[in-house]
Amino acid sequence: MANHHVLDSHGADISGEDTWQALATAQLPDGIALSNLTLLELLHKQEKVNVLVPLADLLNADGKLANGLLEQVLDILKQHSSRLGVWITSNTDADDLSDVKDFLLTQDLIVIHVPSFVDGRGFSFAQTLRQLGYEGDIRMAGAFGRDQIAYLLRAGATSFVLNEHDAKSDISQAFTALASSYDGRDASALPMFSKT
Amino acid sequence: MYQYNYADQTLVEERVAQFRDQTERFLAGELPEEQFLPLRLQNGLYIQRYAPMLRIAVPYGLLATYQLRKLAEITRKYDKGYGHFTTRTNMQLNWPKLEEVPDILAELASVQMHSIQTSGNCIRNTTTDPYAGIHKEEIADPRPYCEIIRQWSTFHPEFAFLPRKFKIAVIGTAKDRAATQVHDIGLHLKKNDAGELGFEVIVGGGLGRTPVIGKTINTFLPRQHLLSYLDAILRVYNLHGRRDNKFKARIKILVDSMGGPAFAKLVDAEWEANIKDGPLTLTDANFDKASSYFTEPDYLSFDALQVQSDLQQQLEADKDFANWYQQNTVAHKVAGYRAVVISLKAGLVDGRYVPSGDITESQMDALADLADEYSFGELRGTYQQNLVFADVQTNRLYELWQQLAALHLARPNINTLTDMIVCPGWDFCSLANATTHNIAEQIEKQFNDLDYLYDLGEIRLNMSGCMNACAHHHTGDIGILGVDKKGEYWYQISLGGNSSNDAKLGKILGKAVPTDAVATTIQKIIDVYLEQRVSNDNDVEGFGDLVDRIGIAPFKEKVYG
Repeated sequence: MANHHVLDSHGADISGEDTWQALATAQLPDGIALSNLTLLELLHKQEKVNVLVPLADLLNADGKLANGLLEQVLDILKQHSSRLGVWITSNTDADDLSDVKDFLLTQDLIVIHVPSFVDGRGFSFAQTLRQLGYEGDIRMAGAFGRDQIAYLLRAGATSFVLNEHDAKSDISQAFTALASSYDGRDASALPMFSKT
Repeated sequence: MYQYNYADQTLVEERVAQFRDQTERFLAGELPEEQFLPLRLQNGLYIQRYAPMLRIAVPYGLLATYQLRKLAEITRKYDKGYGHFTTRTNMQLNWPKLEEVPDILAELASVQMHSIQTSGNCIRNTTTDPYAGIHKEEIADPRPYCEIIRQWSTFHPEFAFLPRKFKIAVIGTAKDRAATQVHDIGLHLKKNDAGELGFEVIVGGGLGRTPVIGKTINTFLPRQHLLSYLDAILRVYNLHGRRDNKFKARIKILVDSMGGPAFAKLVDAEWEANIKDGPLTLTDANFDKASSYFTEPDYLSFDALQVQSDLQQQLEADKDFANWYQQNTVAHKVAGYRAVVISLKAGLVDGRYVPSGDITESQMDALADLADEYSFGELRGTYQQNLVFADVQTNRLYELWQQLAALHLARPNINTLTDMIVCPGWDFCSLANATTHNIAEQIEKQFNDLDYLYDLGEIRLNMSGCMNACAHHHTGDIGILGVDKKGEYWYQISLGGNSSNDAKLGKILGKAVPTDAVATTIQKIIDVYLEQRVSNDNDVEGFGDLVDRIGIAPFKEKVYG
């Protein structure tokens, strides 16, 4: 786990101040956060920590926030964490995001896990979250590549989990590539219609 | 045509810098092959049988003469002195060197050209009608909308890694000359009862190994919603399209699996929930601005009677010119002008077959000079792999024809059997299963009598070297598909396809025929057509109509019986 780094939207390594930990679950992919902890460890911690949980595990079969036992678990998680965030995967049903919009808007961090370089669903998840009005940190994790960072920034991502090799190489260009390109949200930003 | 402003130019230059960095990192072993592959494809670069292939974008087919001269120069400097025009109006170079591609892109950028998104699983070059802006029956000029779509789709951050490639075509006349119904999205400009402009939106057409005709999901989308609605379609596709199987990843499979109405509902839900009436909404001022790049050139006015009588004399005096005028020129909305189709189907020149869509560097330079002299410095590419001079004075056709003829660019075969759409096939393409050029040459030799071809009338023959169907064999009156059988090339023939308004897929005639029997088989098919077509004084039954009427059984009988 120690071989991952978190970079902010300017490409600065913020691993030192990043305190998010992913709750260890059966489907937890590598590199969602810099470290993981189990539910038991969380419950026994004296201090409150920042905890990432899988959105999929909080939903019922209809894609709504589950009630009953799961709802109580979520309450316990909230009580034992200083900040709560969720992670989603490319297989998350996009309709679910709209269904739990109010819940998502209150999250401090949403991590989008990319299963492979060519799987572009993460771009649409980031853009959708921004269009739903989410203003917090959107963090990309998984198998995206440095050459996709410029697009991901425009789609709404604000931080990135990278492996040791990528984080340590000079990747400043990745954050400034195609600096003039269009962000996909505003017709007036097209070259033909922009004032500049 | 559209002129790059500072922002466009900067963007293209930034792209060249980015790809130069990526290529260098790849060659140094720092960028993994599986990541470089989609990145180079989005810059138009394939690795082919003998060399890389670079596909250069010609947005909606429009080329300025200074751009054509640059293409000529590039083919001289970096390639083997020729280029190849495709059905999607791009130009392919067959022999560039990988390490020189960034230099080629830099040269292209100097004339507002690029290879951006000409390949890969992203939004490709938008195509349109080659007679946009000059056709008498046009509802509205599609080019401003094509340019808006070009700018929206270029580096759209959300849609660069779609499940599969994505192609959009736009037309502004009722008649479809851009094969819109076999595109991922086809847009037909329409006017509603209030006189407002909008689009009929057709989604999910495509050829390849699962050919499908598109389905209308919106009969009238007011034009201000163009981009937000396209965004909604692309997002639904990006999130729901299949990624587990490359052959089932096109939007046509998604639309077919749920049906047009259900797909339309998903798009509407996405559109209305997140995007409609938002900042992607276009304004009348936007449309005025976009249209300002496609104003009419300074047409002259003529004494119509004089022009007509002069033309009549020339036509009567020279049968070759009359043939060319009849086949290769098209009516224009402005009196005294015609559009001229430059045939890139020279056939056999000095005994050597010239592949469909191929053009040499000296032809490019000469054509650029002629377009400056005769057609306001612009050319257009067509779906049939030909070029068009859109605005030629009728009273100068004769002199233009003489010069084109000297360049082997005036073959009067447009819309005849030898105006074939042909992909490069096994000779160049690593996807291909069979060769195509040798078969096209065979057909050229079999059907070398011009009067015979004219008697056959319009017949579209399309030939692809594999089931990826780059030459749209499914929509030819006669389609030929190359297949590999134990290392030998065989050819499967289909009949009755159409890419225009009543788009339909051809029916397979029967088992494939061997290489040496293709032209003779086509001859038998043509014989059936000639025997069975019905004519009256005004009308001759077309090939497709005959296939519709009698089915393929009589053709089958003749070929295999």
